[in-house]
Amino acid sequence: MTGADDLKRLVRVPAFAGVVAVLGLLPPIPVPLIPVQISAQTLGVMLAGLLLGARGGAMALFVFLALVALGFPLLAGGRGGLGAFAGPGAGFFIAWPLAACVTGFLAHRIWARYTAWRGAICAIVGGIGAMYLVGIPWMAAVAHLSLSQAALGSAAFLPGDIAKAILAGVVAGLVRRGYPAIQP
Amino acid sequence: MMRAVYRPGDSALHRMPAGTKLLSLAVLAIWISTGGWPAAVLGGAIVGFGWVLARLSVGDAVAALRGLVLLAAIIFIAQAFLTSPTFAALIVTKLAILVLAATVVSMTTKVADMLGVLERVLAPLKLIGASPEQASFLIVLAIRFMPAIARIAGEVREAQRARGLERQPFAAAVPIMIRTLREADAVSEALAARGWSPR
Repeated sequence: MTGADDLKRLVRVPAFAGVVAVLGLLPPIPVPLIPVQISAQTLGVMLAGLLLGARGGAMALFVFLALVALGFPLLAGGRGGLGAFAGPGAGFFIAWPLAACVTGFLAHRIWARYTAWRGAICAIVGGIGAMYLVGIPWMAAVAHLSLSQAALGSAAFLPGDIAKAILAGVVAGLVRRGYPAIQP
Repeated sequence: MMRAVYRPGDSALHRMPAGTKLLSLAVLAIWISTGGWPAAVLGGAIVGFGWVLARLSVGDAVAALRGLVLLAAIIFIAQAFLTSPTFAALIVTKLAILVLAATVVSMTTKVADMLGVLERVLAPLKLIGASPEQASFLIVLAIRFMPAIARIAGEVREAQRARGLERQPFAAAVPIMIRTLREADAVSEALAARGWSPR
């Protein structure tokens, strides 16, 4: 590994933090049948894991969270600053570095035989599993609910998140084909 | 395009060192979230005083709480049924006060001052070989990338609209990601050409 490759890996980190931020500027997509809107930001989290790997993906999302904490309104809906971290749903985005890390760890293991479906499974385990693993107990603690009650409330987001994981698997596969220099 | 939630001003809160504000916020947050009604009322009064001191308006408070409304309503209804309406009110009140407390700090502290505190907090990372300067470098670079990525996204969507592809989600995501990566790698090459190396 050369120094030039190290530098490229490092500079892709803030670029993906920027991708997650820009995805938050897109209007949320209303989902038919369920009363929630999905934001494209978790798609960025999954792509950061799939395309940058465990370390790069986690770093990209730490940079993103740092920007939000510093005061930039980068979360979907224009939320930002320290106030965003005080909300009951904050665990779901505080988990993003972990989610990208787990997704990236899994993606690295299957990189040589990557398919869109395998990528989607990485994104489901990391991007959804790790995110809910932090988000649900966080919500339960802040709102004084039991874990099962908090989990029930989060289930409405599951269909949208699974759709995003599948999309992330497909997109990462196509990006990898179109830009072979990328390696998690 | 990047505007922080910071509101310029010269109130006592604006002039207070960022580290002091963040430390006070941490203490207040722990006290309110672990306390009962006395903590909520007293904490609320302190935050309200800070809000007035920082010359923030009622409209600012409404805007700050807007993101909380839906979740807070669900939590209130759930708690009112599961425990009692009083307890539900306490939890939602505490949440609102915490959000306002954190917001007043963000609204009276410049991003550069926040970054200064972050660097100081991260300073112990030197012991394990990481560099806090690198963290600042990545944050500044991310701020630089954002308008570029927004421009790329706009151009790609424009091009796809022209070809009638706007209803296909992959159609936009893939070229946006590839062009962003190309942009990032071009920045790496420019940095390398100027003799910059990680660490």
